[in-house]
Amino acid sequence: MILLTCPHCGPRGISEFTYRGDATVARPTAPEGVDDTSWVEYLHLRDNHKGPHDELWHHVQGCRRWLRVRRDVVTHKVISCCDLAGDPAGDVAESNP
Amino acid sequence: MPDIPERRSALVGMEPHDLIRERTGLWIQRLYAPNGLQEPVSGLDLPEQPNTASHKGGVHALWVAPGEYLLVSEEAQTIEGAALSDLSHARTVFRIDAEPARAILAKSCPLDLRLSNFPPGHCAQSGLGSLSPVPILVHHLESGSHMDIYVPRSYGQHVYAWLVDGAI
Ligand SMILES: [Zn+2]
Repeated sequence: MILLTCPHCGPRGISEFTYRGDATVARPTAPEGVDDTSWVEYLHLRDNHKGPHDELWHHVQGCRRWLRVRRDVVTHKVISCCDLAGDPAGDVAESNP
Repeated sequence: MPDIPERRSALVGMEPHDLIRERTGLWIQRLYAPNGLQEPVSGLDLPEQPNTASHKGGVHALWVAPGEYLLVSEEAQTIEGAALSDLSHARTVFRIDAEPARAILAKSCPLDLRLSNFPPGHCAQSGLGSLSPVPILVHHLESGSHMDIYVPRSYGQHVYAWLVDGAI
């Protein structure tokens, strides 16, 4: 089983967590002024990076906190994992679709 | 002291089991105190470490998330100075001797419940079963004798059947 170390709960099986998307996507600050192409890009289009990547994970069957995980998508190596509330870019959680 | 309104067992119509017993009539509250308690609340002693529990005067306090605790007692309590949500009727609770509980849960729960990792006084939330796991909270009692398993009441019968199967 792949383990992810929650900053609160410690190492836990990955089945306790839900992947909630790319953590680098930012909602347009003035959505009423965004054209359709940019909106589609924000909602649906994602890069497919190879290597380290920032991701949102929800410890849904543990402490239910939202986490920002930096993970190498090639090796599965987890580089860092922190609570979004303690993250300077913590507002990403609310703006991610 | 307020009474706990009675509610029938979640397992009505199911065969009783020697190892897996339902605990009924519990007073269960969620305490949300994201910034800690402003002042000490009499009758409450909150655990300081994640995944641990504490108890005072018959009230067990289980850490469930940063600033969130589950308070459990066999008797209704009056707690002043803290906001509580009453979950007394929202949970089904099973009690299993610690040793068989480890063996049964090992079949379908990803928690590391070995004594070295989950000693008495610890608690942890996780999922039970595969595909769409049921949320559970496991509490290893301070005495080390038992584990209590909390599940949403609507899953009570399902989890009971699952645990009974696991005990075969
Ligand atoms: Zn957690």
